[in-house]
This record gives sequence, structure tokens and C-alpha cells, in this order.
Amino acid sequence: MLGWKKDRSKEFMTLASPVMDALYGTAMKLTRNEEVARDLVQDSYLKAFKYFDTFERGTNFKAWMFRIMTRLFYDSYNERKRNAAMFSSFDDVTINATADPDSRSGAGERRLLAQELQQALDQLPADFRLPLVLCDVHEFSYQEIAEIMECPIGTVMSRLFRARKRMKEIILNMNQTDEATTTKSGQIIPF
Amino acid sequence: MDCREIEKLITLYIDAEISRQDRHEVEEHVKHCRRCTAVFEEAQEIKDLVRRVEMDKAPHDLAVLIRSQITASAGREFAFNLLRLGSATAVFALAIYGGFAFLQGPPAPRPGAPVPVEVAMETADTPQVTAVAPVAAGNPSRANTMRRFSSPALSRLKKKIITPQVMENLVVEHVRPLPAEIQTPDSDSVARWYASKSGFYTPPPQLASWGGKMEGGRMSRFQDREAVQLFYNVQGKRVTVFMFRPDMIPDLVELNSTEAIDKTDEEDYISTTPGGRMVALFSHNGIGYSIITDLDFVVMRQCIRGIATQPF
Repeated sequence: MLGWKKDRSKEFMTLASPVMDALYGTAMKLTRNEEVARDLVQDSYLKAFKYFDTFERGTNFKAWMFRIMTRLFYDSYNERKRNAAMFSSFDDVTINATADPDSRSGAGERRLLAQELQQALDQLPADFRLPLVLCDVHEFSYQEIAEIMECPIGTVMSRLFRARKRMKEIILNMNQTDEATTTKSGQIIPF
Repeated sequence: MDCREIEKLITLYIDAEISRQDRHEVEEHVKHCRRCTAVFEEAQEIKDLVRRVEMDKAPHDLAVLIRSQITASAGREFAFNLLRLGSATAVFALAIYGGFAFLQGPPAPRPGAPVPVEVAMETADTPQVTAVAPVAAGNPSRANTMRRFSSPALSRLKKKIITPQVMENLVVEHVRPLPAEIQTPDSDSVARWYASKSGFYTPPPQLASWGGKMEGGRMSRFQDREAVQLFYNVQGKRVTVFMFRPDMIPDLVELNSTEAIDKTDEEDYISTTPGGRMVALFSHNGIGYSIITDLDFVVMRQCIRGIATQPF
């Protein structure tokens, strides 16, 4: 019995430790608040351990952990959105630039700093930010993202499509509002 | 396909989720359409940018905290399962014994025989076991039966040194607003003061490396004997350290090095009170130590490490 206790927690931590950075990084992107991100990751681990017996061995553990955290985030987010000002800026997306790709040449180009990229990402609503991070940063497949977010694959596709479109608009808007730092290359230059 | 349909397929293309047929369609279309070429390049650029976004790494203390919580959670589940198993075993054993006793007739009573303390604790603290009492009511050998059939692991758990009484004793002293006999942040002055009172010639625990500030001390009582009580302020909250003679508590865990900490199960020397305070009890270098804090596991661990790594 003692062996069972240690083996179970050991097996869990062997699988769960390597994904902690990915979970925390995503929690920070979602909550944009260190304290809330810590709580979210902590709760996710405790919940995952509680239901570890239901995890199907051999399947994607990282995706399973992300699904637990995503569900907790949405529960917590919905609850906190009603009660606290902490999340008041979550969906305050204000985009002034036009979405026409042809307008890009007139927007001016400059080096996009890491901080600005972060700001652009922050301006996306959570429903767009999450699939973008899951797809582009963590390289989950559409099927896995659909399972993590508990939505149809078509929704994942359309959210990714719209998320990138909005990102582009936000970046163009940033370029327009800061012409002093433009370059002449005609491209958005990665930092 | 028109540009609108191709635009949607571009997302699938850059995410490598597109079918072979659609891939061909997109590639052919983009070759001849400048607008869709621009859309394609921009989508790829955005993907590359997001891929390079800085991701925060989990702080070390969070990883430590989660690991300790998982261990504690596993311990709670284990104890719960043991109690369930223990109660099922006890019911089963009593049923067999009851049948056997019925056939044999009542055993010879032993008037005045005291109930062992350990058994009394088991029956008092374990609701599942208490619930089977009516089965054995009137049987004078019930206590012995319980002892015989109780799980050895359960008995081991019950022998934990940080009993509710010990915890209560420590926490009461921790929260009582009694005046300090010596009030100074100077460790040397505090060491001289308690050496004259208690005969402990060892420096006080150094908690400064993680923001702990010595506030002073007083002579206190622990398990009805004299003990040194030291006060620290950590992150605006009080941490109390007791120093006492280790023979006051039998089976005290000895922590004389970081290796000893790593090898010892934390449940053997750290407990959480119902009010959420943490209590540790161990010995180091021939002195018994108890730490009581309102702070979390991380701080408690640092406190213990600070004491256990003090040179002899």
C-alpha cells in the first residue's frame, strides 16, 4: 500500500513535471497576472492528480493537463469576471486599423519588439489567444486543441483564422501609431 | 476555388493541417494571385511571430510547492484508504470473532485491566471504527480484538509524534501575545540570554537569508517542561521556534543534514493544524526544535533547512 501511494504520486510527477513550464507560460498568457497564473497552475495540478486514475495511459498527457487547466481557467474566469476587476481588461479589444491586407504598404514598417508582440497578443480576447498559443507555441494539432478547448474542430480553425487576422490588425495599428521608428524594408520584421 | 475559400485554406496550410488535394489547390492559386500571396505571407509571418513570443517559465518555488502538495494529497488519500480498509477489516474480524466467541462462550473477564492508550486513540479518533462498536458491545475483550486486527500501518500513523495535543500546545504558545523577555534583532545577545537560562550553547536558527528577522524570545513551557521560545518576523508574519530537550518527545526525527531531510518522509515531522498553520518537530545537534508558522510549506521547508544545516 505504501508502495502504491508513492508510485502513484511518482508516476504523476514524472509525467507532470516536464509540462509545468508550458502550463505556467500559457497560464500567464491567459491570465496576464502572476498570482492568478500560479493559482491556476496549482489548482490544475491538484485536480489532475485527483483524477489521475482516469487518465488513459499512452495518450497525450500534456494535452490532458492543458484540458484540465483550460476548463479551470474558463470556470474561474467566468466566476472572477463577475466578481473582480482583475479581469476587467480581458476583452477590451479596441482595433482602429483597417483589416484590408492591401493597406499594409501604407502602414509603415519597423522592427517589432518582444514587448510589443506581447502587447499585441494581450489585446486578443482569451478565446483567440488560447488557440493561437496552443497551435503556434506548443504545436498542438487542431484535433488536440479541439479536445483541450472542448469545441468542434471547425471552431478551432475559424478562431485561429480570426485570431491571426486580428493580430495583423493590431500590429498594423501599432505601426501606424509609431511612425518614428519605421524602417524602409516594407516588411514586418521579427525581433 | 475563389480567393475567399483559399484564404481560409491558407490557415490550414501554414498549420500543416491541409489535405494533399487542398494543398495543391492553394499552391496553384497563390502562384497566380498577388492578393492571396500577400495574405499567405502575412499569415506565415504572424505564425512565426507568435511562435517566438516569450513564454514565462514556472518559478522554482511553485514547482516545489506543487510537488509538496501532491505528496500531501497522496498521503491524505492513502490514510483515507487505510481507514476504509481498516474499518472493513475490523468489521470482518469482529464478525468472525463474534461468531467464534458465541460458540466458545464469553472469555474470562480481566477486571481492572487498563485499555492501552494506543487502542483508546484508535477507537476515539476513527469514526469508521467507532461505528462498529455495537457489534462488540458488552464484550470486555473488544479493545484487545481491535488491537489484534488493526492494520500495522494504521498504528504507525497513529504513532505520529505531532499529536493533536502537541500541536495545540505549540500553537497556543505561538499565538498568545505574551511579552518577550528579550527583545532584540541581535542573534548573539539572544544566544547569550537563553544559554544562561537553558544551557543551550548553540546559536539561534538563522532565518535571515530568506527575509526572517529575529525579534526576541522568552522562556516558555512545552510538554510541561521548560523550553526556549524564539520569535521571528517573516514577510510580516510571525514564525515561532521552540528549542527544548529532545528526550521530551520520544521518536523525534533527527535532521542533521540536507541528506537527512531528503531521506525522511516530511509527514514524519511536518503537520498542518486544522486552522492552516504548519508545525514541524525534529531534533538537530542534540536539541529539539519546533517551528510554527502561519506561512506556507515553502517557508517551513526553508526554516527547517536553515536549522538542519547549522554546523555542529
